[in-house]
Amino acid sequence: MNAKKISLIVLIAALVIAIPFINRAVFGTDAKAVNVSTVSQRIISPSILASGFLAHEEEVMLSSEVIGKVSELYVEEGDRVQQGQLLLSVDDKNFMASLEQAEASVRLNTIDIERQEVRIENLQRQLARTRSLHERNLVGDEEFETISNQLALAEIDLKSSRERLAQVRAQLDQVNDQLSKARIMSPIEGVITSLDIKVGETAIASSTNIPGSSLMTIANPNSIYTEVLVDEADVANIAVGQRTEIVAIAYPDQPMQGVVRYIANTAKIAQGRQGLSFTVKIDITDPGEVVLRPGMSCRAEIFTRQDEQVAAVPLQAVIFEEDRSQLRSEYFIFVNDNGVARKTRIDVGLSDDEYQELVSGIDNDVEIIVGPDQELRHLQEGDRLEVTPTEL
Amino acid sequence: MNQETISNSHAEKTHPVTTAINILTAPGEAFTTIRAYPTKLFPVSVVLLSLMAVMFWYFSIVDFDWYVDNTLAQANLSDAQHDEARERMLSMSQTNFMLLGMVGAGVGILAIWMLQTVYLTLVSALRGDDIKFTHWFSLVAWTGLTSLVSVLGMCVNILLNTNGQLSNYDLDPLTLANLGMQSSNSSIEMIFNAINLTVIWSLILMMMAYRQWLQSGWVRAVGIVLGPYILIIGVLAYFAIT
Repeated sequence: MNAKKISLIVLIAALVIAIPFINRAVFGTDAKAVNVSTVSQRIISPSILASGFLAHEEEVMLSSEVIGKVSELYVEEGDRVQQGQLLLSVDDKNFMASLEQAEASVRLNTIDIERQEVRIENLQRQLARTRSLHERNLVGDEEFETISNQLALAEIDLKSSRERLAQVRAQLDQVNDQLSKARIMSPIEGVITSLDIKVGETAIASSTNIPGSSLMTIANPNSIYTEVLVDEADVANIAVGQRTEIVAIAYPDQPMQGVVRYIANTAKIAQGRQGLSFTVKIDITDPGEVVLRPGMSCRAEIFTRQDEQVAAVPLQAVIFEEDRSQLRSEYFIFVNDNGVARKTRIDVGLSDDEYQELVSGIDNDVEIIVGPDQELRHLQEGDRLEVTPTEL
Repeated sequence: MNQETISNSHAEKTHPVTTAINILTAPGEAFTTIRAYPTKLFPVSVVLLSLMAVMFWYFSIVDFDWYVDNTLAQANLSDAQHDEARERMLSMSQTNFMLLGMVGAGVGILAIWMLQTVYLTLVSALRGDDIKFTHWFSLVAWTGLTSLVSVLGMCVNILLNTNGQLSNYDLDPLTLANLGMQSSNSSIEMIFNAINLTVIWSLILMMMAYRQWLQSGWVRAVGIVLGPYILIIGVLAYFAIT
């Protein structure tokens, strides 16, 4: 192997080794195409999501206070009714019979009292005459006492009859009351949302859930509200008066506006859930074009901070780094420093689905790298940039 | 027609390393040795091992997450296809990619060599030349040693990279694309990425060997050795332009 060949090999190797250096010097490293924007003022609305349903605040489930067959039904499901309007009648034949019986008893007792009053008057006259004769010793003591006793007994009988009259009058009132309950009126103004009884069926006076005990449900459609369950971990951020956006499952593209009205004091384990939840009631202030029906499932987004403009950047521009061994976590963004990426530490505040609040660290005229995501994900300090300004 | 060939008895058997150096510095001598002693083991094992080694090194240092995104960015996929492909690629480990890269490099180079050898053997058989498959394969393998120069360049690029963000297209500094030949046309860009200086060098060596072994002129040597490449590049260029 001669020196010439060795020199040639060394020359080739040197040239090959030099080419990458020359490439970098002439062409540089590839610049990464990124989008930049400056810090913008935005309303960051952190929110809590909760699910629930629509319900009526003012709703009455009517049931009968008397047992009887429904003879007339004056309304249908969906009808609008006024307060005091007659809704249905229960067959009152038995009640009428009881009424007549009670009235007859009252009359009989009244007659009885009249008879006794007449008898007392008669006895009082007899007593007066007997006293006069007794004073002139024309009548013995025994006869005088007999008349006195008869008068006293008659007065006691009269008292007893009067009490009996009061008793049958009370019974008459009771029958009248039952008779009145055979005609069922609407207690509120509203809409019949559920009609559970038909003509000919038996209405049963009961609070238990047996057939015939529930007649109908009347609700005030203007009192519809949203009831959601908020997890106990989130309830501390909820307050009465907070703005809410409600989406009914049946109308996913038509959000409604609402306001938190009530937060329960006591947590409960809701059906189908494992943790504790608090009931939150939300008034619907603007239903938009949505036709609200109670029982509809819905999703509420409760905004826990209201309408305050802060300095913000897109979420994807923020990089989170965590060092668990040192219990340290920090946030960074990349800024454009004359075509070179610089990693800058920032302090952050609240965030929503799209933006992160900047508490400190960045001037308003600094260009922040906001995308594309696949470049931002792999960006490193010192990378060359090909910048495209973006409006956010 | 039989061609005059160089007498085997005039060639001395040299050490494989000497032959390798001669391929790069004094190809005529190397061709004489190869014609007389068509060995294959040394060049095949050196080239395969060096390529596989550099693939191993490359996949050891590359930022795998970035590599997946960079690979997918070059394929025109919809968002849904992109996400699905990304998930599938990330489910494979970096080691799997390394093994695929190593095996792919080895199998790929062997496949190309076999195609070249079969083609040259067929041409020889049709022409009645006295060169057999074993000679052509040996020649292809020895001229393939020029790829060691590419491997050296790849090693330099890997050493210069500090963040693991080195694409497989930027790995070889001797490709036409990395030497400054760029095109907005994806087909032509693909050609520039596929051809590097060592491939051109290898083809020149093969043409020189063909002339020397078969005492032919340059026109025939160029036509026979480069014929398939000109055809393929021509077809690609035609579709790229139209």
